[in-house]
Amino acid sequence: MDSFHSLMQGFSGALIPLNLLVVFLGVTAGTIIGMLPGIGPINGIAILIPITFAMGIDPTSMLILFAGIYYGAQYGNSISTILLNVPGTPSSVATALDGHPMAKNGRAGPALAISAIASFIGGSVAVIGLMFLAPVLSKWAIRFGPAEYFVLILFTFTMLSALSGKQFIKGLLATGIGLMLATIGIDAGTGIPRYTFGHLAFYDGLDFAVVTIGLFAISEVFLLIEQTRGVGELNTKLGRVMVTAKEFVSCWWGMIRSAVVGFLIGVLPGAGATIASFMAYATEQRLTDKEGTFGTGDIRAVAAPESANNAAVSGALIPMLTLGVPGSGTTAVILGALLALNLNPGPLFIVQHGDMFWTLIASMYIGNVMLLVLNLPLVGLFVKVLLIPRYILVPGVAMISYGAIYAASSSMTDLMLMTGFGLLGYLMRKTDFPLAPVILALVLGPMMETSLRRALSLSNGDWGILFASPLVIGLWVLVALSALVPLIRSLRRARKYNDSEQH
Amino acid sequence: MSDRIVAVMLLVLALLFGFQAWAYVPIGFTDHLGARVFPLAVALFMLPLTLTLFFGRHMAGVWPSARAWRVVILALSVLVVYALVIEYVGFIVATMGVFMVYGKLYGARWWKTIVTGIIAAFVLYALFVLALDMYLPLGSFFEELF
Repeated sequence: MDSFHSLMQGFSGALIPLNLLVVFLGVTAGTIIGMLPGIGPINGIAILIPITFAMGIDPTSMLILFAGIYYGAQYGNSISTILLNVPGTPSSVATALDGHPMAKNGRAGPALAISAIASFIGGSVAVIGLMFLAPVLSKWAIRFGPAEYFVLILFTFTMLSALSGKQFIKGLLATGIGLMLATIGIDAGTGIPRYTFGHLAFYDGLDFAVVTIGLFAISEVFLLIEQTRGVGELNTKLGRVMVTAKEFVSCWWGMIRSAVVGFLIGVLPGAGATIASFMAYATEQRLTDKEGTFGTGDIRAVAAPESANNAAVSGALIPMLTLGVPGSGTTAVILGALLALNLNPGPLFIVQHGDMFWTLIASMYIGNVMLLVLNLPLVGLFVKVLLIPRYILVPGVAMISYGAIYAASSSMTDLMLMTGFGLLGYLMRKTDFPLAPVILALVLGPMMETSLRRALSLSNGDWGILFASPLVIGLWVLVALSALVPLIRSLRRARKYNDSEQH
Repeated sequence: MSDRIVAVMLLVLALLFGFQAWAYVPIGFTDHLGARVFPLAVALFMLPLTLTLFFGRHMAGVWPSARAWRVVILALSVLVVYALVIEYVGFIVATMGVFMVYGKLYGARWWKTIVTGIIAAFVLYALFVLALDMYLPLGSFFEELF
C-alpha cells in the first residue's frame, strides 16, 4: 500500500508538463541514438551531461531524461538491427539472428511491431520489479558499512571484467587504468595533490564528462571514419507494422519469461542487456523451438531478446539507486552525473529522495507507453534517420561533443584532453580492451578509497575490519568466485590451444 | 600492435605510477590510509596483470589498413587543430572546417561539404547559444562584425 501511495505521488510529479516533455525528449532521443550504429546510450547521455548542467535542469528531470535515453535506446536498437542487420549496440545482436531474416523474407513490419511490443512488455514488467525490489534492497543495504562497500565495489569490478567477454585480464587492466585516472587530483583525506604535475587544471581531478565523451563518442568517430561506406543499404519495404493475434499469442509467454530473465540479469553488477538478450534467446530456443525455426526468421526469437534487453535496463538501475554501485557503463555515467550534483545514490537514496525515485518510476511507465505509441505508427519516420549520410553524421557527433564540452567549461585544455581520450579509446577498442570498466572505475575509484579510509578509521588502522563481518566475508567469496572462474576458464582454453598447436 | 607491446606499455605505466605514488607522504598529519596506499595498491594490482597479458595467449586484433590509418590520423589532427583554434576563429568557422574536411574524407563533393558545413555550424551554434543559452566563442572576426 505504501508503494502504491508513493507511486501515485510519483505520477503527480511525472505528469507535470515539464517532466512529460523531458520524458518525450528522452525516449525520442534514445530511440534515434539507439538506431544509429555505434552511437549508443552512453555517448548520448555523456554528451548531454555538460549541457544539462549548464542549463541548470532540475536533478529529477535530468534523471528522467537520462533514464528515457537509456531505455529508449533499446527500442531504437532493434530498428537498424532488423532493417540493416547493423545492431546499434551489442544488446540487439541476438535480435539480428531472426529479425533481419524476417525483414529479408518481406516481414519487416511484423518484426518491428513485435520488437516494439516486446520492448514495452519487458520494460513494463521490469519497472514493476524495480518498484518492489529497489526499496527492499535499499532497506537491506543499510547494513552495509564502509568495509562492505569497499569489497562490494571490488566485486563490481571483477564481475564487469568477467562478463566483458573472453578478455578477463584486459577487463581488469581497463579497471586499473580507470582507477589510475580516478586518483588524479587533490586527495580528499590528506589534501595532497596527486599526479597533477603542477597543473592547476588537474587539481579538481579529471572532468568525468571529458573522459567519458572522449573515450566513447570521439573514439567512435575515429572508428566510423575508418569505413568510408554508408551505414547500409536501406532497401527493405516496411509493410504494415503490426502482428496478427496468433503471432502475438505465440510470443506472449516468451516475452514474460524473457522479461523476468532480463530483469534478474540486469540487477547483477556487470551483466546487463547483452547477456540478458542472449540468455533469453537461448532459453526460448530450448523451451519452444521444437521445429528448429530459430535463426531463420522466427518471430518468437525476435520477441524474447527484445523483451529481455529492455527489462535488463530497468534492472541495471537497481544496484545504482540502492547501493550507489552501477552495474554497467551507462549506469556508471548516470551515477557520475548524480554525484556531480551532490546526490549520492545508496541505501538512503529512496528515503532522502523518495520523491525523485518515485517520479522516476512513474516516468518510466509513461515513457514505455510513449515508446510503444511512437514506435508502432511512426517507425517509418524514424527509419529516415538511417538515411543521414555519414559525412554529416560523423562530424555532427564530433562537433556536438566539442560544443557541449566547451560550452560547459570554456576550456581549450578540456577539448585537448577529450581528443586525447578519444585516441586512447580508439586504441583500446583496437586492442580489444573494454571501455566500460574504465568509466566504472573512474566513478567508483574515489568511493572505493573513501570507503577504505573510513573502514580503517573505524578500526583504528586495523586491516582486519575488511574480514570482520559475515556479510563482508560473503562478498569476498563472491569476489574470489568472479575472479577465479574466468581465470580457470581462460587457463583451460590456453591449455587446449597449446595442445592443438602441438598436435 | 600485439598484446605484448600493450603489456609492456602498461607495465611501464604501472611502475611509473607506483614510483610517483611513493612520493606522496603527508606532512604534519596522517590518517590511517595516507595518500599513497591506494595508488600503490592500484600499481601493484596492475603489475601481475600486465605480466599475465605478456605471457598469456594472444589474440590478434583487427588493425586498420595503411589507408585507414592515414584517414584516422588526419581526422585526429583536424580535431587537435579545432581544439587549438576554436577561441581565435570561433565555433562557427572551426566547425565549418571540420565538416568540410570530414566530408572530403568520405568522398563528398566540395559544394556538398561547404553547404553542409555552413548549415550545420549555424544550426549547432543556434542550438547551443540561442536555444540552450550556453556560451560558444564567435571568434575575433565575428565579434567585431556583431
